[in-house]
Amino acid sequence: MSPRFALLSLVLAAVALALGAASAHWLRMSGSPSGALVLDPPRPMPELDLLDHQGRPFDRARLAGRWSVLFFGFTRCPDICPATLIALAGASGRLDDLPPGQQPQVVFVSVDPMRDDPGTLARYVPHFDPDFTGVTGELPAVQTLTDALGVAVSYRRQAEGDYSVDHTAAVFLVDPQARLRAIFTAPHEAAQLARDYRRIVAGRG
Amino acid sequence: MRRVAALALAGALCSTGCGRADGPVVEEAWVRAAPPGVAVQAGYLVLHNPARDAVTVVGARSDAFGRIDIHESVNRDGMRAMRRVERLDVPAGGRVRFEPGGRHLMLIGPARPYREGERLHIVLVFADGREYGFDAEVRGDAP
Repeated sequence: MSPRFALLSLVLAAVALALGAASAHWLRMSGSPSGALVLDPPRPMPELDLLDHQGRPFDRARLAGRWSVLFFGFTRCPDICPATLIALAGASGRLDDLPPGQQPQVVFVSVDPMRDDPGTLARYVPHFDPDFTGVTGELPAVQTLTDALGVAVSYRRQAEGDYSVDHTAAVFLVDPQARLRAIFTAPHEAAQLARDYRRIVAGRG
Repeated sequence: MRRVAALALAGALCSTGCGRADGPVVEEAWVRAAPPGVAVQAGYLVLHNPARDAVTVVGARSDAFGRIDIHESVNRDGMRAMRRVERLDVPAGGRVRFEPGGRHLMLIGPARPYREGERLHIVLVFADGREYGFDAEVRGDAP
């Protein structure tokens, strides 16, 4: 393991542990929606300095004014990430009847920004649903978001200079005031995600 | 009519790979479709070993991909992680499933983009030197 990877992994593991411990206090298990942890009160998101898959700025304002569903992954993740994106596409399709203001924007945030530039995400994310948004940026900028949500990320070196990224597979719901409102825990299934989303957005979470 | 149905059924059962009666058999093989330019895809299957001896998978290869590893998605420190599987034992009479969220073929470096419905030939390599080839259909989601 190179010093850079070792340091990165250590720092991220420490952050993940600290946030995990803190999150345990903030979260309370909600009674009704199974598979979802509802935050009460919701947690404001920090200012963001990221890029979407079309190269446009993705800042905190992009999370305001509508509900957002965030998932963290990377394009070299062939198993969990496509399965989750397909579940999210299925959930999104089940929410078509909601008023436009209540329909979610689905955002795939790369935790491998060193390899996933906007162009890579532009070829990848819309494959699952043309309305999905891919987001990437400088590593510290991505970490601002993962830290704020308590997303654990760890870079694991593999053979031949390659590496893989261990990451939280939860899905995060951000409300129209750009506050973290709920966490959907893995594994994800389209119908369940859609049911939980409806309950929380309707204020019955 | 009944005989036609029986033949059709036999044909359907064999369509994903009928091996020698005493050797390992791959069933329900498929490859997750991916957008053009993606570096890694996943393959899934059921490996059945009808023999009286255990078999061990030590690798896989295909002209359709630069390299194939066997991986397993696992929970590690509260995160989803991938672990490489160097040797995979299939007990006598046993079945091992490669399925989304679990064990999968890590198909690295597709030679070109593959369309849904294409069939890709993949070879499993066993510890005793035997090889077993099968076709996997490219699909958007699990059958």
